[in-house]
Amino acid sequence: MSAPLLQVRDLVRRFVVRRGVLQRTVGWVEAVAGVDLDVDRGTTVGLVGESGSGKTTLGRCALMLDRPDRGQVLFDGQDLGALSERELRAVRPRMQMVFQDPYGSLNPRMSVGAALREPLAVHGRARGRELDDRVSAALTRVGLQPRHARRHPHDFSGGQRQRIAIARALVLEPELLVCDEPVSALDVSVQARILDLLRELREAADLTYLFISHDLAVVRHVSDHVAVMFRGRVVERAAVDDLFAHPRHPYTAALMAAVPGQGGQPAATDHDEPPVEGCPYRARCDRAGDPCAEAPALDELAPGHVARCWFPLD
Amino acid sequence: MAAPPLLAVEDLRIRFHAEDGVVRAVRGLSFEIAAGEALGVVGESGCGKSATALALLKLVDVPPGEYAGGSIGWKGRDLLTLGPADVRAIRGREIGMVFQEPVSSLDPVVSVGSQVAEAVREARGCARKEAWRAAVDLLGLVGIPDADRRARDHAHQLSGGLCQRVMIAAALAGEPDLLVADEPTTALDVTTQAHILALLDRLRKGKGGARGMALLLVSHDLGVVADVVDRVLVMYAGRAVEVAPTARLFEAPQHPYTGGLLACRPRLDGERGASLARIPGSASDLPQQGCAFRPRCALAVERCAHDDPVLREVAAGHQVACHVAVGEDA
Repeated sequence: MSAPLLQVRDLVRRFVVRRGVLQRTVGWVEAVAGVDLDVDRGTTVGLVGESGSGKTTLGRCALMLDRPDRGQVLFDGQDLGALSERELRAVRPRMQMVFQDPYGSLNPRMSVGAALREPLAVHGRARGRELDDRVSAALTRVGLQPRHARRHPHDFSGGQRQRIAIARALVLEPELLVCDEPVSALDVSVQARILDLLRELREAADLTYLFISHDLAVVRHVSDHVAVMFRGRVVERAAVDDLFAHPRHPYTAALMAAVPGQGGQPAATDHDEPPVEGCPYRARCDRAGDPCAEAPALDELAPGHVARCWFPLD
Repeated sequence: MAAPPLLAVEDLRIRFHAEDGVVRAVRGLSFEIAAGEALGVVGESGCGKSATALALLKLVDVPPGEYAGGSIGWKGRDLLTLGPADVRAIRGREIGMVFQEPVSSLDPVVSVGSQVAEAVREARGCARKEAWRAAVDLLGLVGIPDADRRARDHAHQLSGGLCQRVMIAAALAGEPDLLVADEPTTALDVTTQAHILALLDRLRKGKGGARGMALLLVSHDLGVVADVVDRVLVMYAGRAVEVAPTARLFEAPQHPYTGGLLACRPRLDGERGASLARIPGSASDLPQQGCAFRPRCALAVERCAHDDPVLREVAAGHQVACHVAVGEDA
């Protein structure tokens, strides 16, 4: 087996917390607090967690859209943090991102064709006639038509706009696509079609996905492996069927129970608790005991199935 | 049901006048809610569900909106013909409302306790001190821990889930008989969503010190309403296409649109790797005549092109607006 396409090693990203009129620095918050993650070529890794869990920051760091404070991101074996801006620019076309909001991520004044030609021109990938051919090919690939290139984003529905955003990411023929909540803003009937499109593209365009979502059912549908994040850390990671059949971390189990329409019961509490020493999930956890005052390490509970918990579920 | 319904919406029609023509958001919608009952209204963007929710408090902006027909019967009176003073007396006191964006619905410069207290004063006309005490009680009732202290916090100090609890507390200030909740959990995390839904369920059933009230829960997601409501009304293009008791709707959906909505959503217990069902086309393909869903319907027959189906009863409490749906033995 070849090396993973994306390897994240002990990644940390901190943000400054400022207070008061003078905006004095009062502390730091670790949005990503030491994450390891591998994404094998041709697979989809789902990244689940609630808002504030650090999943979006991790996705941005993986593409060096945000520089990590510590740790490494290896893309196809290259340490991205060690590259100069110029060298990084050469790698960027190989990794692209699709965002949640197709309304905000497309320039309303730019025609669809111009929006798709831009990345090609910036990276000097095509000129003249070939430029138009590549744009047409990308539009066709996402289920739109070449003639749509002349129109503007406001002429399209939410689902079509997300197709355009995907086409824009695909036009450079990337190997890795980081999708950050790509269907969350769409109607359910439209979600299904975008999810199917992403899956078809994986085969057709040899893509590898890091798929970020808060929606467990969606993540289960698209992923081969799943990592669950809580407060900046991966608390559980496994192959998708293992994870959903046997969740080991109490937080993963709570997330599954909370999915509406499955008849589950919500966990004991959803209240914010001040950051505590030890296991960050402790205050919400109904299994917590004395050992949890100390932060647990990721432990391999079954082959390929790791969790960060002193009292994992059976 | 022998007792007259609490709410009886009859042939409601709402239009919006836009620059490029008239949008008929609600096109003849009828439904009832009994005292203490929970009804879910489900549909995709543009189906008219939010306009309907707003209309129940007579909050549709006129213009560009227009109440173009029908009636909203509230305890025997038609809300649409009542004057502003009468409507204000009902709003907040008899019918409360909760919206999707809790953080932006709260005033950032006033403590959340004061905002709930203001709602209490408005609804009950009591003194400030008493209103504050009532507000703290309400915050406790909706599950805010340490309500005494939290009441002094401002919206930005609270999480989205806590802000939504504050909004619900404010909506409960007048002890309403009906709570209208429009996508109350859409902006929240799944775990938080589950708690807010459980809270609505508890308030509705009158456990935990609250008294029972009716609930109208609007959502784009059938799953969200499934665990909370007694009956579901599925809306398409401004009309009810299917109304049924919740369990029945999930077991035996009759309208092709309802079936599509259920099948196109991945499930935790569904088969992995299978393609999701698709509803072709988009809701903006509205035909000039006949069934509004026909351009997207796989089961459409010739009759659907010219004859617009009306709601008909196919089983006890189960109504469908479809020529093809066959009912009990489907």
